Amino acid sequence: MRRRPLATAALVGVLLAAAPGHAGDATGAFAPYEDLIEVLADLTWHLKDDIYRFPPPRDPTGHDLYHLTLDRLGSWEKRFPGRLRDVTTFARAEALERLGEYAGAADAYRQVAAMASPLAERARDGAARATDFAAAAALPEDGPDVQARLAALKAKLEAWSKVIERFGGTPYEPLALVEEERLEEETAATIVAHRHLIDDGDATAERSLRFLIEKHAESKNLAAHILRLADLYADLAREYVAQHHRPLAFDEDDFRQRADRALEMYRKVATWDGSPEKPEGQGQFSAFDAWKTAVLARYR
Amino acid sequence: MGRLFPVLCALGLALAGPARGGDLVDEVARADTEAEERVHTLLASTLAEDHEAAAAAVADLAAWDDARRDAGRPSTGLVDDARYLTAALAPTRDAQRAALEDLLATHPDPLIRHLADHQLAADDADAASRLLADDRHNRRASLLNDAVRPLGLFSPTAFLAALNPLVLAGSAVDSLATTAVNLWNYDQLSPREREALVRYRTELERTPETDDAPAIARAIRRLGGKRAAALCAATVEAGATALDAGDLDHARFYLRDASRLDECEGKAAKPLDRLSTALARRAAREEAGRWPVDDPPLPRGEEAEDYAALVVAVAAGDPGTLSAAANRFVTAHGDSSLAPGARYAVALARDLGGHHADAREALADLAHDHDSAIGRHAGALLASSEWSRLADLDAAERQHARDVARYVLFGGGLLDGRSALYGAVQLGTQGVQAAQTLGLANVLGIATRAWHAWWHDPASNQAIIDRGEQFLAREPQSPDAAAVHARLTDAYERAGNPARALLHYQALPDPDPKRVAQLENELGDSLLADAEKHGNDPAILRAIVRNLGDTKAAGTARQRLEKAGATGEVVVSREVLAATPWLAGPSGLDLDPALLDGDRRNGELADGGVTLADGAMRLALENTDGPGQHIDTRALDAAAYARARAAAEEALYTRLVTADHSSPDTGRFERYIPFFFQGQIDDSGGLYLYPGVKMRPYESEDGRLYE
Repeated sequence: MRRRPLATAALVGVLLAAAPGHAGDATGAFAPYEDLIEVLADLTWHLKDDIYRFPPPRDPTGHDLYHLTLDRLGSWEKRFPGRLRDVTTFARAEALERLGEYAGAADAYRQVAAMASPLAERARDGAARATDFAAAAALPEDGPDVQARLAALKAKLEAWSKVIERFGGTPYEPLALVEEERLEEETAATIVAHRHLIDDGDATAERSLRFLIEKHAESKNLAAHILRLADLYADLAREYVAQHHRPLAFDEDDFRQRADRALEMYRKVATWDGSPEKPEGQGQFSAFDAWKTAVLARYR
Repeated sequence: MGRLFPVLCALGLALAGPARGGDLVDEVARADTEAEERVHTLLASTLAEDHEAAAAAVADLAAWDDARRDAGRPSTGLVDDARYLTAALAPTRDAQRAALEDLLATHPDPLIRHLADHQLAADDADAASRLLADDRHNRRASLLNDAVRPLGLFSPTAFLAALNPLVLAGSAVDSLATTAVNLWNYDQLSPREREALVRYRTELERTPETDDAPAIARAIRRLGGKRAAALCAATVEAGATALDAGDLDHARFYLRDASRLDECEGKAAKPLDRLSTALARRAAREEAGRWPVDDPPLPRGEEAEDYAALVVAVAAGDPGTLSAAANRFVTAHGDSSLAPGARYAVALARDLGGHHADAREALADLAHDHDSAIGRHAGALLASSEWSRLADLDAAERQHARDVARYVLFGGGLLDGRSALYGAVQLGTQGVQAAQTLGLANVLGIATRAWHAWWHDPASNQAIIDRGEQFLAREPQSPDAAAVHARLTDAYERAGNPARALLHYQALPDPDPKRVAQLENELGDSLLADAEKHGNDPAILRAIVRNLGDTKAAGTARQRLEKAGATGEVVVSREVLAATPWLAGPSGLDLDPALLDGDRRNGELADGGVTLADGAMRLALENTDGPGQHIDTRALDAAAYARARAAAEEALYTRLVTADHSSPDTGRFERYIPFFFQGQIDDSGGLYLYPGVKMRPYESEDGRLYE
């Protein structure tokens, strides 16, 4: 009789020690699909997702759902050419639109619009919309020099601004906001990369990154923008050391102030719970902190 | 320059050492022409890097000093400095070391002894040899200690062994197993060996002409080979571990990296083959997942029209039309092989229509159908984070509770093999009674750990925090949001992050002011600790005062801010003055001797000592008429202030150099007699005593560079 409580205790102990992680990790295998409805339904489920504020949807195995849907629809069309073609083409257009391939989307919508399909009218609307998006997306982003590139980016941003105004409040606004954010990111990156060629380049670069952070505070990429500002501060600290490498020219307080500015930014992201950029922030913080410590030790 | 620098350092030290009763400057100041001439000759020959002339000047100075002593006059105390100065001029590493060792053999004054010791210890080859000697010692000591420890001496168990030899057998098995494991790991590359390798290399690069070069080169070859083998093994192991975990991307990086390391290609070959197979399988699986099955079900007869309408409705995504089409199909063709797809569409229609709970229910029903691909897909969807954010949060909290319980019951680490083996042998030999005894003895440990867990959460809260934050980011307007804020408050507080805890608590609809005050106090204390870590960072202190004004920490922060108002202070405590009497004299702070005579009635310096700042000297003085202290501020002219400050900084530096840096845990003769006895009260209440060889701690300043 005395063994039973002990055995029970041992069993409880073993169960406690060997308890599973958590049930939410279980996912279905990434397998061939049986019914086109499975593919279409998953896409339809996420057509109104706000991909500006949140990361694009993923299937249970972690694949980008829009991309996967596009592949699956393509393989269906290869396997069964002609079967439910209006549906697969329409869905393909929707997936392309979410992936930022507006010209391809407009073309696919137009194909459906020309078919005798219950989806033709919707496709016409889609074609008009995707054409607007494609027109803005087709504008050039580059130029022969920095000023020309910045001017091109500005013109393109203005075009997207009109698109945002036009589609504000619809499920398509986040698509345009993603484009606007990407272009503003490009603009800031261009200024940062060429700040030595621009008047008051360091301050302009800082302002452009801060503008990005403030304007896109709602974006899923906010933490990434903060990391870029931290990178700029880190570069400025490195440049300070390069410009004051002789021991008597190096001022510890000046350096510390510059380095700490970068560390503060890295730390913001390093302590940002739930952010996908958190591990990057932690790594960057550790790396830069180690560099700062080494520099201070060198000039001690 | 390399040689000039120590000369100048030594020159500086020689010019500033009044504590030793004799110093070049003092001597010169006293216009001792004879001494001045000798010192001048020495310094001039040293700065000219004329080793022979400098050696002659040292010999002359030593002879003159001897003559002074013989004549009954005090020694100048300059000979040690002079010898240290000329040692720097020695042309080779070996000659410099010999000169420094000769200097140490003359028992120089403490400052010169510390400086010479430092120069010798800074020699990389010497440091590397010491590291290797300590490493060998520790490997042997560890082997011996771990073999002896399980057997013990004077233990009641040892006496019981005579009655029950199986108990002794348990100890013997433990000892043998431990020894076998230690022998298996005996030759693993240690941090000390890594550091020794780096230091040998540095020494050889710096002084390739040294007499020790052949021996250093041999050591480098041996350690270099060992390090390469260790790097290869570690890289292959990292790759194999990632491969076993299905992390093919990391496995690819490590294994390809390993295959490029010297003499590592063979070791990486087998896991690389496994990796290739796994990558091919993954690629095939990925490709297959993008295609329909070979024979997808097709609508037949009457189904065709309803199915076509359903597919169009799914693509159009209008909830009303979709719901009608899907339900029509399910009702009319419930037995069709396409019905699972229609039921999936029902779930979609419900979700798009805002009926999330109904959609979940439809998916759950569908997930029971394990025979269809859509049923399995529905099950996977329900288990994904998108559909189970709250469930994930629940699971994270359950896991946290399990981790805490495991810590309380079993302690911090995993049960190690040796304990398990010993426990098993004990249980086998003494049966249930032993297990009970063991259990009762563990009650104390459980209670201790439970007490610890009450104050400091032993388990990570990060999973709870991540999932809670993700939930709030995705569904800030959810009816469950308040509950999640409350759960995050607790998780952050347990994790020692009162700032985030406060943020979430204040997001609750009706936060309790008492709890807010408690969290603010915790936050204030945490920030105060942070400020201390950064040398009382005024920015953090000001933030505490500004944002947490009502907390206790704010009061402390205010005081520290006021205290830190003055900058650039040099503080010389009474203890420093007592240890360096010359500093109080005219060449230093020029204090009245009465302030240090121990008599309060004529004024006495308090422990706070003297502070030099802003052209003035602040003295902390004991009150003459009773207990307590007061501050007396005396303005100094520029020359006196500069002299006092230079002298104070020099005294503080000398004190730093001559401080004893040896570990207080290291005995005087420990290097020669490194044995100890350790005793403890064992689980059965008896004295358990065992001998051991004392390990040498790894105290390298850059230890983390070699881990």
